[in-house]
Amino acid sequence: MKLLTQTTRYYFMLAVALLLLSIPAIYFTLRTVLIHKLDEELREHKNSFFQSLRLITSEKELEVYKHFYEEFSLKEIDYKIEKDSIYTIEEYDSSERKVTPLRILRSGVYLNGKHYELLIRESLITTRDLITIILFVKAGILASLLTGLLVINRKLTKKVFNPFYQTVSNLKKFEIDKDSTIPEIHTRITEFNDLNKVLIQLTQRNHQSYISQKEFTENAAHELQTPLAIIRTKLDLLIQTSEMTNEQAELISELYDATDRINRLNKSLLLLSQIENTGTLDREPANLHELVLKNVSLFNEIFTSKHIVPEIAGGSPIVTTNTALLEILLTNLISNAARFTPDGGAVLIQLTENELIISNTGEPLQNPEKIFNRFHRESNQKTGTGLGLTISKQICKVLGFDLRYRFEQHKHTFILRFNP
Amino acid sequence: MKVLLIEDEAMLAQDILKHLQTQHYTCEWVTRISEAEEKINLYKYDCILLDLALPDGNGLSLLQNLNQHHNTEGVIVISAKHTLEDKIKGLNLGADDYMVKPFHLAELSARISAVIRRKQAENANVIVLHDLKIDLPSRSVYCKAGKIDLTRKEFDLLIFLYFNKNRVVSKNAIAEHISGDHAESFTNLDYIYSHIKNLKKKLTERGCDDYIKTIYGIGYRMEV
Repeated sequence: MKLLTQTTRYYFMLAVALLLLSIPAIYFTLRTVLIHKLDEELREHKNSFFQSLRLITSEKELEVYKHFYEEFSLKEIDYKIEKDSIYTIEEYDSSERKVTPLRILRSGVYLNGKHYELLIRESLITTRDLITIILFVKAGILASLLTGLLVINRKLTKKVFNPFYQTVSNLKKFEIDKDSTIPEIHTRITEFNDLNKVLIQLTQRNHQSYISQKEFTENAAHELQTPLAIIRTKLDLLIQTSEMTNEQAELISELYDATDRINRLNKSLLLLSQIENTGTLDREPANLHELVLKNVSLFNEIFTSKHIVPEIAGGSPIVTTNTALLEILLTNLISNAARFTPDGGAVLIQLTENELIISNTGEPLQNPEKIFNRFHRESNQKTGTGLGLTISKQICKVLGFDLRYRFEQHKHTFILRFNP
Repeated sequence: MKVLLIEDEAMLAQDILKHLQTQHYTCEWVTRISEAEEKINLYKYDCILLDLALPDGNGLSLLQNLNQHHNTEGVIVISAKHTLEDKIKGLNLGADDYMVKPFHLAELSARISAVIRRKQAENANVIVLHDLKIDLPSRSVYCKAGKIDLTRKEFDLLIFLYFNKNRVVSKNAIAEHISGDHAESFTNLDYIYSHIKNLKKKLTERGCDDYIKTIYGIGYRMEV
């Protein structure tokens, strides 16, 4: 859910709640005020009636007065009304044909020695109409307020939030190995400016630490080369010394193997950081079929010893790319097939215009999702640097290729796409 | 044969010296470019082993100097720098070979021999070993009974062992020599054994002496 949808939803809920609550509140407040006003009017009527009453001396005059003022009614009673009272009644109005509310003031009148009940009536219909109108106007205002809010929010999403979305998309595009930071965005909105600034600093720092980490790997691998060279030459000199026992010979042989492994690991690490460091690359057309043949022949001894006849199918597509890196990539993939195909297994290399698929028989991997990870090895795997496929993946990234792994029909399959 | 070693890592340099001396090279060692230039002006060397990262500068500058003065010494760059660019730069500046540390001493001997032979007269390209004749340019081997057909790898192996004659060469050095960087693809070094076995068989079948001795667990030695 978008931030604005969320806030608008709350605004809406508040507005509707207020509207619903305000209707009875306004209704009752207005009604009280208007009735109060009406009551005052009724009292004034009463006062003016009493003033007029002084001038009336006979029954006849009273009848005339009553005739002129319809709202007054006088009824002779045989008791005295001590106190005035005001109340509301509902009465059927025959002319309007509906029940109308009336406000009545009841008071006592003493005239010519007789007690009268005075009722002054005032219709409440206008008050009710007034309230209805006010409520309608208010509802209208609220409705237009809400519509306005919606429209403004829509526009806000597009206009005000634009720098925010821009920053997000820049961040998505940010590649730690290539970009030093994300582009700066100028906006009047403080929050987005702050966000952008903080992200610029963050990406800069990340890029810096990435670079220094990469340099560290490179330097470390580099620094290891001299001591490694010394160990090797010492071993080379050691085996020239006088006759060794078999036990000593085996120990030295194991030392040689371990040194070789460190050396390969070191070379792979250096290669990896070099690939990551490559700037612009020279590209030239390369005949894939020839390259595959050449690389397969490098591993002929392994294939033969395992009774594998690698099969190469498809045409000879030409790919324009950096041949040095492409060769390392192919060597890695074919070397993998050579090493991990079991005795008597099958290796198939298929070439199409846009794809190179290398598949070889074998047992499924325990953790296929980790296959391209640095130093990931399946448990049964003892040799190798654990960097071969990481290097391959990195080369693909640099060359703009796509490399995927699948296990299908009991075959480990690597799919290399040149124009993904 | 005189070799000048320019290397600032003392321990490594001493090992190289020790190794080359047993192969009857006269070897001198300096640690700086300036010292190396002095030596080169005063004496004549057959081969110069040049490290690149030196305390008083990059060894490539010395290489450039040698090249400008048309010196005839064979130069082998021994560097910790691994990139293809460095290699190309070194070779373009007139180096005869480029080795990346760490290397096997056996490999170094083979490279030095190859460089020196290339610099020498034609006849040096043919090695005569009792009844065995090895022709380097045409990569062919003859014995009394005639030509022996060797595969490319068997030939490389023979030459490699010859250049390190009377010394123990480890299986690892052999593997790296004949398979290069792809040596790691082999889960074990047994294939070296089968190459040696085939080579020995081909030589003895044609009536040659069995020069190649197996050193248990470690490697082989060509005894001449």
